[in-house]
Amino acid sequence: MVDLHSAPAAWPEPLYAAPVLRGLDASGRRTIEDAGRLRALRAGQPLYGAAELADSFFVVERGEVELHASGRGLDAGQQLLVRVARAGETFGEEATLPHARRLYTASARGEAQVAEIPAALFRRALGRSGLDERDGPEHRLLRRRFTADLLRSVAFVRALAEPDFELLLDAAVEHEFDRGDRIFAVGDPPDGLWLIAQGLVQLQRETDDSGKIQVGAYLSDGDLFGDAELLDNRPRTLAAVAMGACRLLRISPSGFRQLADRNPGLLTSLRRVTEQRASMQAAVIEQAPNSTRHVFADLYRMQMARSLLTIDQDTCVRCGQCAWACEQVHGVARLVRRGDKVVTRLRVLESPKRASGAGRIHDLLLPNSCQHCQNPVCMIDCPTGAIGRDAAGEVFIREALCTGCGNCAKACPWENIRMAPRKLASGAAAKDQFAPALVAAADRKHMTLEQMFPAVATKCDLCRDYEAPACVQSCPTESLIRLEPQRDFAEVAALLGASGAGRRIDRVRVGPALLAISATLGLATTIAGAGLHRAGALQAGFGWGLASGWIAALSLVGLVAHAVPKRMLKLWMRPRDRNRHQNRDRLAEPTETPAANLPRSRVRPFYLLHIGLGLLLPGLLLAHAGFGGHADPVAASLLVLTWATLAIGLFGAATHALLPSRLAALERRGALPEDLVGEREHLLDRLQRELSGKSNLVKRLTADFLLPWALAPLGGVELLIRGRDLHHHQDHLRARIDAALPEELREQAQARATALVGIDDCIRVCVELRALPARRLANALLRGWLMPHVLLTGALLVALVVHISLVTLFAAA
Amino acid sequence: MASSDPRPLIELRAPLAARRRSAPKLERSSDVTRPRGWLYGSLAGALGLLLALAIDLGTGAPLVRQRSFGRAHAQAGLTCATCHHADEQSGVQLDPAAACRECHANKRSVRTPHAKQIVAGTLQCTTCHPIHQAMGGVGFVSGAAPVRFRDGVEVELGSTDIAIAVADRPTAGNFAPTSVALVEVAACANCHRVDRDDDPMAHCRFGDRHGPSDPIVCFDEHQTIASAAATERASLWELAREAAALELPAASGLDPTPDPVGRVGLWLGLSLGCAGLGLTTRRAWARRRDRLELAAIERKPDEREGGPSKADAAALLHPAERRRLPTVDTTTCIGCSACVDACPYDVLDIRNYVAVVARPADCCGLTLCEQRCPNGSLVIHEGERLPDLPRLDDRLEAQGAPGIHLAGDITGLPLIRNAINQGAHAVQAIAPLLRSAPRVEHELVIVGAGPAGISAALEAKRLGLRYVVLEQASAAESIRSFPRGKLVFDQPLGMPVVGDLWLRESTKEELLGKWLRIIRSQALAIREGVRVTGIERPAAGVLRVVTASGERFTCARVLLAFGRRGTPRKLEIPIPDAMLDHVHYSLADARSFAGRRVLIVGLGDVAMEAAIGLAGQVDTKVTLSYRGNEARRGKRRNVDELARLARKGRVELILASTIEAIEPGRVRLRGPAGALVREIDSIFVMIGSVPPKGLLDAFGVTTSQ
Repeated sequence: MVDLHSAPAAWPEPLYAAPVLRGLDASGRRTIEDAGRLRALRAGQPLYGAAELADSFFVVERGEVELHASGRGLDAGQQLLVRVARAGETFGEEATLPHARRLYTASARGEAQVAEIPAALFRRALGRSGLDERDGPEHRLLRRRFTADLLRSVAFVRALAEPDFELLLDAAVEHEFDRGDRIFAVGDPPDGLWLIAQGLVQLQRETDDSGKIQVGAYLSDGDLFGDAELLDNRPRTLAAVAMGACRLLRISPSGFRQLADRNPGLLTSLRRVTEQRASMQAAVIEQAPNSTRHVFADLYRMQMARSLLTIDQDTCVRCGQCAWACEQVHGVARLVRRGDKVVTRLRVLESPKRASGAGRIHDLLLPNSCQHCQNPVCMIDCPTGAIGRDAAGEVFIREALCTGCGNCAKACPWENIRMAPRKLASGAAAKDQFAPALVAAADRKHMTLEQMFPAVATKCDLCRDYEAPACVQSCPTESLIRLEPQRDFAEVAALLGASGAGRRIDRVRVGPALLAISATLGLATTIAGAGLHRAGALQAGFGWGLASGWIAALSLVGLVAHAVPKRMLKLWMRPRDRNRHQNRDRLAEPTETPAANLPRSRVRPFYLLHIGLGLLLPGLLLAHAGFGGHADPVAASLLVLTWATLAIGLFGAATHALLPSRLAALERRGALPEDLVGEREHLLDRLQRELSGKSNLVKRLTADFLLPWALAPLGGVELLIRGRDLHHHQDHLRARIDAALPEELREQAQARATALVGIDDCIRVCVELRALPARRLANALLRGWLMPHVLLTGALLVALVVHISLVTLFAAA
Repeated sequence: MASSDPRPLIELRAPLAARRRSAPKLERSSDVTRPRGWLYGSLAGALGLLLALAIDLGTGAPLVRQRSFGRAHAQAGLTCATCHHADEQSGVQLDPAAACRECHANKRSVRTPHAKQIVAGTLQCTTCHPIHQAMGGVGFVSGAAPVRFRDGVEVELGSTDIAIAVADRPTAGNFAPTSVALVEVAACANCHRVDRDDDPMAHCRFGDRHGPSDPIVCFDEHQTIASAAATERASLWELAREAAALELPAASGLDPTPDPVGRVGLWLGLSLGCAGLGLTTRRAWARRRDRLELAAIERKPDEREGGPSKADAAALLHPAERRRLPTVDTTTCIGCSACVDACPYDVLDIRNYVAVVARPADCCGLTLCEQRCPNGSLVIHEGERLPDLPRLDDRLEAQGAPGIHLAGDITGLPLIRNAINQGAHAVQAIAPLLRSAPRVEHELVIVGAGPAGISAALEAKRLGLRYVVLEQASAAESIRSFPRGKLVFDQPLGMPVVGDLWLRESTKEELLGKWLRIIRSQALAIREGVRVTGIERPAAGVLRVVTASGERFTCARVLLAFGRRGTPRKLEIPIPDAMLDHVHYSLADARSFAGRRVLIVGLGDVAMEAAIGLAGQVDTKVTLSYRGNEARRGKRRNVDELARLARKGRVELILASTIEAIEPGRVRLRGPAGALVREIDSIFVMIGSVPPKGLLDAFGVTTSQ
């Protein structure tokens, strides 16, 4: 690893004699020295295992490294020696391919020293020197083997004879695309048959008028497309767009025709594959028409995410504790509770007994927080190799190497990386907290390091210094879970092929029972206390009245103590291991495998306890103090404060119980309360845009019917009370519009469709407009009460102490 | 994929989120800032309550109110525990009301109904003598004035008739201290209607006095008058009756414990006030810290955070006089594309992971790229002097043409955002100059209602100037001429915005709608369709703007904000009448040309964007003619897309060609391979515009050479 607390020695000169490193210039050397590391290996020490994530490759400086493959077939279970890498040779080149996993197991034969070099960085360093690592003979061979493996995995290719296969392999040309690149557009002449080596491709068609995009199908690894137009040489009828970084193979039209001529059955089998895929995707959508739409909108994100932060909007009380906790742990919040929503079913089992998660449709918010991609574009784009990944797949930023250039933050499609002010550790000198290349740059410009590099990229690192992420552990309602969509989202798993079994989450199971018991007890004591007090049977200073006073005092202390677990995370955030600082800049060192069970909230039990105690308090107060009428001003103050705090708290608990699911029904995207301030104007703008160029009928309908409906006072409250989702209201409105159309339009479907083009978009906006005040109200209700609830507690505690000391210590006086 | 599949899986509404050109900054959401100060507020509230208690204690008022239980009881040395105590054996709390009988034995009522109730347990001593409330009476002490007491208040009746009567009594100096308890109307009101004359106890009240605290004067409850006659006590009854008839002195001023409600209110009010103070102080402090922190990473603060920085804005207001060009140190450049993304004109590019200056001709000279370079590899150097730039001073006033100010594109600084800044800045600079100006019809005439003009008008309105905007077409004409759906501000925002004009990354329609709404709601004085032709100077410090219609506007200052777009450059060949309506100089909506055959002349960004837009329409046949051999300027994105379209055959690109003649329905071209004829429906001439040099000359503005 890079030991940043002492100046690293330059790498030994003989290393650069290795053929692969020979072309590097001085700055290239410095870059890989900063981001890579020299590793001394003992005899037999394993370096990596097969199928591990591969982000870096190795150059042997001295000694020998053995590469083993696990045997198949007859040799199953045996380790077969594949190759021995000697001084100057490289191994682990598969890292230069996207999505790569280790092919072999590597271990040192004797004492050895190897240089570990991040692959993306090395590609940059070579490119700067005017070279291309992809041109190397090893790499060409590697790629041909990958292509062959890939082709063999495709069903119809397996049926080809060996010469045909070689033909296909020769005809295949590799292409690389980035997210959003168009592979071909509608109307283009057919340029060949495409085969996806790695990545996700969307076949789409742009609807002619509104610029909206209709998705025909999603294709991923091993899928073929572009064959339909190839034979009759028609222009493309669909467009193909790369959803993420893609590696595709193109088989030229002539090569394809040659193959088709020699294998008459080829076309039928191709068609069958296509149809199978189409029917499979249609079936998944058919099953859950409302939920899959969201998942489909950015399937690439689902495919990439290894640890996607999701917030269940039906239970989330919008308290923001997750983001706050993040800020407490990391100094800046790496989580902004805003983003797309996904409606899906989960494969996560909620408790060992019941599989309730499988049935319910979850309304999940995907906030801005790193999802630890399988193929992190930020890592590939980082010019200094500051972004690394450990063996478990956690992507992290090494601040010492970060120049604050923002390349990763721009590259991340979901805004999960943000630029923040750099905070230097106070213990060490600034110079020791930066990599040598950065120190040299600052020296060149005669600036201090703080001035030169004021910003640093920040993103979620899953609290890698701790046992589990703070956001998940501090959620009072257990709404936050980190999921792997491909494994945990039912629809994504069905579409992309599930990886692994569904996981388990241990929720607090006694919650509802606890609340029910305390509510019943609370109600009983309330009635009893009130009745007995009215009858004069209870006295504050004696017997049961006094006892209930003492219990109430203890409850009050317990209730206030809720702040301790909630606000003092340091008390329960357990460091993963003691040597935290060494951990911070660790590069791809194996960590323990992630637990099969998802981490659970630590604050949840305290939250339940708090509410339970709160429910008991009214009865205790009534039993002790009755209905007031005290001449003692301290007791009266205490009573006023307690009742006020209690009433606010009970109101808050009620909003927590009733509002979240209703609010979730009215939200299209997760938004923070401050986002809603300018939303009305934004929606009106959008409506105006939707209306431009639409028929007069649509304009009239919008002006006379939709807008008054949307802006009706208290209309939002009505939506909130009814609790139906926006789709329901949209359908309802559409039905009303259709019913109110003039006779001639109602009969002619064609004319109606023409006249009403664009009305659905206007309805969408208007429904949102009507829901907006309700969203603001619900947010205000959910969040507004907590501040007075907290502010009163200080005075309450003082009044409690004074009251108790007056009635005990000073009673005689 | 089978194109026969008619049903799409889903419809996408938002475009694919992809790489951005600016890095998102740290955001402190309300989630994070919301709990700020709660702890401090709560502590301050606690301190506030303690403070209130301390102040109250300091005034000497007791915290615990000693509940009175009557003068006689107090003199007898009773305490709370006398009545409130538990049974010694069982530990059960005894009824305090029953404790009366421990001292006052045999005090049964002599009235039969009351006696029955006592037996039934529904009437207790405390029913008539509620011990802690209004336990009033009159105390007679031998040799002293009688005392009227009630609820802890004692009044000596020293100078009244009663005192004299007591003193006159034969036993005056020698009788046992006696208290006569007074019962009040409220105690009987549970059963009796004292106010009614038919009530059995109507005669017990004092005349018509039947308020709750008025005394009852029948003293024969426990002892009939007959049996008490001639006793010492009976004679004291009479005096007590007289004493009871006296009004009690007002309680205020006498009551040693102030009003509890008032005290509680005061304490809690003070506590809450302190809590609020603690909360706001802490929040203000945290906000300030946040601002400072963010300012550190934003070398040029964005308008979203902390407001614009005036000094930085001023530095950017002035166009550079010399050509500036970035140079990149390739040995240190890390290839992070920060500069590439910062450049609004795609001057820079990344090749082999190193930034290179790809299109030096397009460099605007703003130093955005230099500011963004993380390790100082890119430096801006000044080159040769730029031609054709108006010479301006710090107030954007043209040198050599007093009273004429310039803003917007014509100053040589492009970008909408610059125009907005300059418009506002120029008006801010003009306002103080107007104080010494002669009083004429207008203080300021603004020529042109583009971004600079509208921004200037907003500022003028804010400063209360008499101004008018003259626009030859209609407001925001430059925005109107953008193609439909064009992303107007598709570039990183690095510059602060001065002034109120709204600007953010948005589509043409959004921007236009918003600006027009601002114009309407602010009621800006914009005269449309007025073409300015020149200026006259009738007197010193007075300017008169001349228009094509002959109307004249007298004013003190003129702000020229008509931009460089001016008039589009036209083809130098005659256009037949039949084609006049089919030759366009801008493309507003490509959809209306669906299915047509169009020719585009030119290969700048405007021409390329038009070609790309038109090629996207169904069945539109697009031909593009350009006299050069390759695209010399223009955004990389446009160049790449056009090349792709040309490769795919969607656009016919005829380079190194000139238009020979335009005939109805077709065009004759001369290309490198000889003469060509193309059948066309419409022609788009997009070969730039004629700079409004003539108009500048008419205003006497000189340009550098």
